[in-house]
Parts: sequence; structure tokens; C-alpha cells
Amino acid sequence: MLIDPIIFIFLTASTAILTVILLAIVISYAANLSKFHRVQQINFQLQAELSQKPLRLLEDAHGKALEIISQANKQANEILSNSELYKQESQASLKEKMDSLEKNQQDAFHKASQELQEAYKIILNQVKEEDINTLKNITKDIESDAVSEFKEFTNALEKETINAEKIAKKEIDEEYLLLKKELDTYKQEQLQKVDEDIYSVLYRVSELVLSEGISFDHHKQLVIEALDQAKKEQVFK
Amino acid sequence: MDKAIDTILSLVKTKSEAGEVLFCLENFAGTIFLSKEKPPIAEYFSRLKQELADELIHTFTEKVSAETSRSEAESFLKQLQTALRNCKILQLTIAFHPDDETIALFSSWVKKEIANNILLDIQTDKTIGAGALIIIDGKYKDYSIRKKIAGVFQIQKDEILGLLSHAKQ
Repeated sequence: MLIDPIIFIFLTASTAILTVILLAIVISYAANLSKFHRVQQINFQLQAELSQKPLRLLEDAHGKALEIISQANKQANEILSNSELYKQESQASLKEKMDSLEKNQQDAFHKASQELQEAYKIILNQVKEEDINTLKNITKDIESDAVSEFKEFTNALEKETINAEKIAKKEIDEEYLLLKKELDTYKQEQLQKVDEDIYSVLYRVSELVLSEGISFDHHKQLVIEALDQAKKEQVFK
Repeated sequence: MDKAIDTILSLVKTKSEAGEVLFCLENFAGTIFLSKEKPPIAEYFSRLKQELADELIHTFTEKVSAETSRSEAESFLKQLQTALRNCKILQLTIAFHPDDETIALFSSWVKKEIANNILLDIQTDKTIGAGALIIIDGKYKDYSIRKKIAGVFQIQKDEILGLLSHAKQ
């Protein structure tokens, strides 16, 4: 029950405050509105005045501009006429000066080219002489180098040839001894082979001679002797 | 052994002759007791040597006669065939081609000195020079002159080579 009065009071206070604020707003709005009307009126007046002033200004300006333009045209024509004259004079003067300049330049170039030619000839001769001297020196150097190298080569070749000769001789001697030894061995082997062959031939000849030299009866006798020998050796038992 | 068989064996000298005899005996056995019209006995043994053929003819004429029975004759025939097949073979390699006389000589020696039932198988090989190579019952003996010469050359090889080197010098 205590709450209700507080709430009532609060609500009442808030309503009052809001009302006051609203009133203030309304009042300020009204004031602003009236101010706005006044300003609008002033603006309309100014616009009316302004719309009339520029026309007069424009007319004044136009008249002045025309005047200025005519003056400028006049001056321009004067300037143009002056400049045409000046142009002709300057052209003539320029042409004259150009001709003299051209002539001076031609003389200068001719002189310079002659001097250059002379200088080039002198330098060319100098270079030619220098090159000839350099070539002579180079040739001499080459000759002396070639001679010395050839001498060195000859000496080295001689030395190597002698060494190669010694080595070859040594190898030939060794090879010769080896071959001689092999030849002796081969000779011995062949002689031995010949001996063996002769031995075989003798053996075969002996066989043939003995067998051919035996008579038919002797053959029979030898067979009987063989049978006798076999019997003695008890082959038949 | 029957004496007749012994006599026949003494006349069969070589292995080839024995083969011939057996062949003739086969023919003889095959026909003599079977066919009524039989050829003369001599015809069966005509391919054999005269002495042997005569002995066989004489023997079989006695055996296949009226006095002897067939079984006896057959028995004798079989005994003869068996005896021939059981003969030992003496392979004799000699250096010449023997004639009949020589074969007879060797055969008579063998039958006299060794046994009657040994047959010769004679081969010829000139390389042995002379003498003989004897093979019997798996035994081999070399009595050729080739062996003797080889022996001499082997024994006296150094001497012979010495003679050769003297000759070369």
C-alpha cells in the first residue's frame, strides 16, 4: 500500500516534467517558426533586389567590355601592322646574317677539314712507321726464338735418339740371346726326335728284314717252338 | 670216350672244320632216320676233306646198319656232336698263310702233345714277323719275333742310340 502513493507521486512528477518539456518544445517551435517566416521574407526581398541589380551590372559590364574590345582590336591591328613590317625587316636581316654565317661556316669547315686531312696524313705516316718498326722487331724476336728453340729441339732429339739406340741395342741383344737359347733347345729336341725316328726305323727295318728273311720251313719251326715253349710254361693246363 | 669219336676228333683239325662237320651231322640227323628214300651216306659228307669224310662215312655206315638200333645210332650222333661242341679252341696267330700240310702239322702236334679235343683257330698277322701268338682258355702268350726284337731294342736302346750319335759325328 506504501508503493501505490510512491508510484502515484512518481507518475505525477513524471507527467508534470513531461508536460513542461512539451511546453518548452512547443514554445521553441513556435519561436523558430516565426523566425523562419521572417527570414523567408527577408530572403524574398533580397532575391527581388538581386534580380534587378545584375541586369544593370551586366549592362554596364557589357558596355565596358565592348569598349575594351574595340580598343584592343585597334591596338592589335596596330601591333600586327608593326609586326608585319618588323617581320619583313627581320627576315631580310636574318637572311643576310644567315648568308654570312653560312659563308663563315663553310670557310671554317673547309679550313678544319684541310687541317684534319693534314693531321690525319701525318698521324697515318707516323703509325705506318711505328707499325713497320714493330713488325721488324717482332720478326727479329720470332727469328731468335725459333733459332733457340730449334737448337734445343735438336739437342733433345739427339739425346733421345742416343738413348733410344742404347735401349734398342740392349733389347736386341737380350732378344738375340733368348732366341739363341730357344734355337739351341729346339735343335736339341729335333735331334732327339731324329734319333727316336731313326731308332723306330731301325726297329721296323729289323722286323721286316728278319720276317722276310725267314723261310717257310723256318716259320713252321718257329711256330712249333712257340707251342713247345707254351707247353713248358703250362699254358695249356 | 668212344674210340670212333676219338678217331673222328683226331681228324678234325680246325674250328671251321668242326663247324662243317656239325653242319653235315645236322643234315644227316635230320634225314637219315626219317625219310625212306635216303641218299647215300657219302653224300652227306661230300663237302668235307677226304680223310675225314671217309672216316665219317665208314663210321656211320657201321652205326646206321641193320645190326645197330636207331637209338644207338642217335646216341652216337649226339655224343659226336657234343664232343665236337665241347672241344677247346686254340687260337694261333702266325705270320704266314699256312697250307693244309702245315695245318695238319700243327694240329697233329697239338693233339699229340696236349689233347685230342683241341681245335685250331689259325689267324694270320704279318706284323708279328715270325713265331706265334697263342690264346687258349682265356690265356694269352706272345712268342713272336716282334716281341723278341722289341725286347732287344729296349734292352740295348742306349747302345743303339750311342751308335747313332757316333754315326752323326
